[in-house]
Amino acid sequence: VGCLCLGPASPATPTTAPSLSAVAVTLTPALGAPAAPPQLLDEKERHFLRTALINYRACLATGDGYDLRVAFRIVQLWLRWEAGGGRRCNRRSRRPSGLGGEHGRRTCVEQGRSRHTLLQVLRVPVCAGWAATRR
Amino acid sequence: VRRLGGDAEVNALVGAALREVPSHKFLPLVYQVASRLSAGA
Repeated sequence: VGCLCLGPASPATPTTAPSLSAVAVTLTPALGAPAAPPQLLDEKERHFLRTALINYRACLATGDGYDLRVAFRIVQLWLRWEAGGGRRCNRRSRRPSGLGGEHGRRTCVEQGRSRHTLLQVLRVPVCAGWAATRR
Repeated sequence: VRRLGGDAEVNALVGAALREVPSHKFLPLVYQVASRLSAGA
């Protein structure tokens, strides 16, 4: 450290040279490697989202804590995934103007099979659960 | 970008979750889900 402070400001000092070469060795393969194909990235994203969905479902089914935020997260994952091009959809829905966000979100739901499952949510299970809680 | 819309597997997973999870846990979401349906239903 003393050598670095007192010596000339040169990256080639004997103290800093090994660390720079180590960094260079670490970064060189990453720079030289071809970019991963987008399809591979999409497959990985899909895999992680599916794992998250399964685990959120297990969490919601077995526990009583964090119910609200997990339920929100499940539906969020579902609609985002279902909508296809979820990044585009989420970017739209994050717009500060209300109309743009609403339009983006509604478009996502209209264009997918999620509408059928949405109807299932609204008709069968929610009504049954509501009746069960009222008893 | 590959589109993942209309994925039957996702709908199956969510459908299974809806059948398995007590439905009252989704009650706070109903108003939001219903508002989404209102546009094109």
